[in-house]
Amino acid sequence: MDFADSPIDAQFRAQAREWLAAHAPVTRGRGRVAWPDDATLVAAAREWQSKKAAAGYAAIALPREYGGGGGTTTQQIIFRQEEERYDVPFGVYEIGLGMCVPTLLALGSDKVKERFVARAISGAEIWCQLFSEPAAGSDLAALRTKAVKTGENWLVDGQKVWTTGAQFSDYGLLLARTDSSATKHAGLTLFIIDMRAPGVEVRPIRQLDGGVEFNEVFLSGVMIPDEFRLTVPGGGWAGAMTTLMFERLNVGANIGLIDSSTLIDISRRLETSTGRASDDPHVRDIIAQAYLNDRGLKLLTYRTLTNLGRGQLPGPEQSITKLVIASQAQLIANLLLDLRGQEGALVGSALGDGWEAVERSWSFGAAMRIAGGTDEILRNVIAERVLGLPAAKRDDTTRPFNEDAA
Amino acid sequence: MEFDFSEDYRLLADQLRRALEEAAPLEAARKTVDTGQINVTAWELLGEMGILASGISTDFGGNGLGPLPLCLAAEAIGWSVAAIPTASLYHATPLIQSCGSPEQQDRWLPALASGSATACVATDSALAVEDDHITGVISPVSGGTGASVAIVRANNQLWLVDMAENAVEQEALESRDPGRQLCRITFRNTPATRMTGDDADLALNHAVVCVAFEQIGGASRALNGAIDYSRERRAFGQTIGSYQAIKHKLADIWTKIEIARAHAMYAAWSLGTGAVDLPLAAAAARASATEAYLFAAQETLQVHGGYGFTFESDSHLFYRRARALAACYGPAVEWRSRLAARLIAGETTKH
Repeated sequence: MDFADSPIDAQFRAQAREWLAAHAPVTRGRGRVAWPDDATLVAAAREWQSKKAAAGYAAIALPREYGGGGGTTTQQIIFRQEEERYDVPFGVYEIGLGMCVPTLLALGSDKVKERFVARAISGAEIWCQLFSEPAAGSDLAALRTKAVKTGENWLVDGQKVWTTGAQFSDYGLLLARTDSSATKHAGLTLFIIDMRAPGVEVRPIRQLDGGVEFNEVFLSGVMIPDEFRLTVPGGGWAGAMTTLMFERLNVGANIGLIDSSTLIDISRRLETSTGRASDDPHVRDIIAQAYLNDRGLKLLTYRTLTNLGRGQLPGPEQSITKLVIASQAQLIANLLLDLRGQEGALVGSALGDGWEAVERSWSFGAAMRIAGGTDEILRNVIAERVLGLPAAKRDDTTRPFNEDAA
Repeated sequence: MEFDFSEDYRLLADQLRRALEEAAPLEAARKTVDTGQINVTAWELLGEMGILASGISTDFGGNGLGPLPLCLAAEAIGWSVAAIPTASLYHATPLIQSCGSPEQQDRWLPALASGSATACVATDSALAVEDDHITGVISPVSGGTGASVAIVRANNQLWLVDMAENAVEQEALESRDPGRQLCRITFRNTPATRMTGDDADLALNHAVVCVAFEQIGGASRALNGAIDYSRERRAFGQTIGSYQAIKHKLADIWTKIEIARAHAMYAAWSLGTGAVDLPLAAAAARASATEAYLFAAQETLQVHGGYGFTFESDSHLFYRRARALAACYGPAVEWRSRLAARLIAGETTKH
C-alpha cells in the first residue's frame, strides 16, 4: 500500500499548487462562497475558466486538440482537490465539462466536436443537461418531450425539469422521444439544443429552502437542425447512459454538505443546558458514527484512485458516496438543531456563525438524496449491477410507448 | 496511490480462502455448534501456510512477515466461520512478541510459531500478586481451554502463567458460539513470571484489526449466501431478489461491508508500517466491522425467512459468530466512544 502520488502525478500536483497559489482567489473558509446573483457568478466563473484554459487546467482529462489538458482522470481529481482550497466559483461549468463535453466527444460528428468542444472548454459557451421531466424522474425513459422530423430539422415540444444552470446556458443535451410507436427505451434520441433558440423558455423553480438553483424548461416548437442530432433516431437511451456514466468520474467532488468535522467543531464550542455538547455521550456516538462514514468514503475514494491508476474506470460502486453522505447530512443537521433546543426552529442566519451551513444541510440534504439518482434508485443500482440481483419484472418495456402511456 | 494489498498478498488471500473453505466447510462449523471442538485441520493448515509464524520474528522460529498475512488469514477464517483459537494468533502472540522477556519469548514463541502451543490473554481484570504468585479469577477467557500459557494483569504489570501449573483451575463456559471456546480460569497462588513490557495497547490494536478482517470475511460470506438464496427462492411468482425490499436490504449490507473493509485496510497499513495513527485507525476498523457483521448476520438471516431460523441453514453460524466477535475486546459502542474522544481531542489519520 502506498498513499503517495506517482512521480508524474506528484509533479502535476506541485505545479497545480504553484499555479493556483499564483492565480486563484483567496483561500476559503468553511462553506461555499455565496454569489449575489447569477450574472456575478457567471462572470467570475467565465474569468476563472479562461485562466484555467490558458494554463491547460480547464478540462484536464480531455484531449489537447480541443483545448483540454490531455491528462488523466487522476490528474483531474488531483487538480480539483487542490482547487477546492480556494474561493473559486463552482457550479457553472461542471455539468458541461463533466458530462456534456465527454458525451459530445464520444458520440458527436467531427463537425459537432469542432463546433462545440473547444468553446465549452475555454468557457466561452456554457452547457446544461435536459433529461428529467415532470413525469420522468427515476423512470427517465418515461419522458414525453417530442421531437418530430420536418425536412432537415426536428421540431421539439415538451417540458424539462430540474435543469441546473439552464438560465445561463448556451447549449444543452436534450433527450427526446422521436418515435412513440416504438417501445419505451427504443423511441428516444439525443440532441444538442440551442438554449437561445425561439421557443425555449426557462423558468426558475422555487425550492423548499427559498433558493432557486434549478429550472423548468418549456420547449414550444423549438427547431433543432438534424446535424445537432447525436445518436441515430431511437439510439438516445444508450447515448444518455453514456452521459450518466461520465457522471461517475466525478470522483470526490464536494457536494457542500456538512460532515463529522462540522459536528465536532460546533459541538466542541456549544454549551447546552446539560453542559458542553461534545461531552454528551449521544453526541459523541454520532460523531464517531459520522466519522466512520466520512472517513470510510474518503478511503473508498483512495480505492477508486487506485483503480484509475491501473487503467480501470470507476464502476457503479461509486454510488455509495451520495447514498451515505446525503442522509447523514440530514442526521447531523437535525442533531445540531436539536442541541439548540427551541432555537432549533430558527433559520440558520439567526443561529449565528457557522449555522447557515447546518441549515443548508438540513434543507439541501433532502435534495441530494433525490438529485442524480434517488437513494432508492442507487440501492437498486448496487443490488443489480454490483450484487447481480435480478431486475424487477416490469410490463412497461415491451409494449409501444403510446399504448403504455395511454 | 496504491490503496490495496499487493498482488502477492491478493493471491495469498485467495489461496487462504480456498484452503480454509476445504479444511473448514460450513458443515464443519455447524457440527462445531454441537461439539465445541476446535478444527485441528484448519489450525494445522494455518501452520503449514506460515500464518502462525508470520507475526513472530525469525529469532524465535517465526517468518517475520508481519501482520498483513495474518489480516488476510483472519478474513478467510471469518469467511469459513472456522473454529480456531484466534486469540492466540491475533492477541497473545503479538503481546509476547512486544512485551515478553527474552526468556519468555524463547520459551513460548517457537511453540506458538509451530502451532504446538496456544496462548490466551485476559488483561482486563486486575489479579493479586505476591512473591511472583498470582491469585484471582479471569472470565470469560477466549481460547483459554487448551491454552498452554496465559497472559494476565496484576499490580499494573503483565504476567505470564504456565497453564501446566497445578494451581490453575479451568472451567468451560457455555458460549453462544461454541466455535469460540470461552472459559473461566482460577489462579490460586500460581507461579507467574513478569513480562518486561507493560504497553499492552499495540497487541490489543493488532488483535482488533485482525478481528475486523475476520468480521468482514464473515459478513461477506453471509451476504453471498443471501444473494444466492434471493436469486433462487421464489415468492409471489418472482425470485425474491427482484423485490426492492430485499434488494435495498442487501445493498445496505454491502455498503456497510465496503466501508468497513476500507477502514480495515487502512488499519492494516497503519499496523504494518508502525504508523502513529494506529489507535485511531484500529478503533475505526473495530467499530465499523463490528457494526457491519452484526447487521449483515441479522439481516441476511431475515432474507432467508423461516429457513434462516433452522439449524440446517447457515444463517445461525454467522449470527452466532457476529455476536461472539462483537463481544470480544468490548462492544462497538465502547470503541466508538474511544474513537470520539480521539477525534474531539483533534487526532487525525496520516493519510
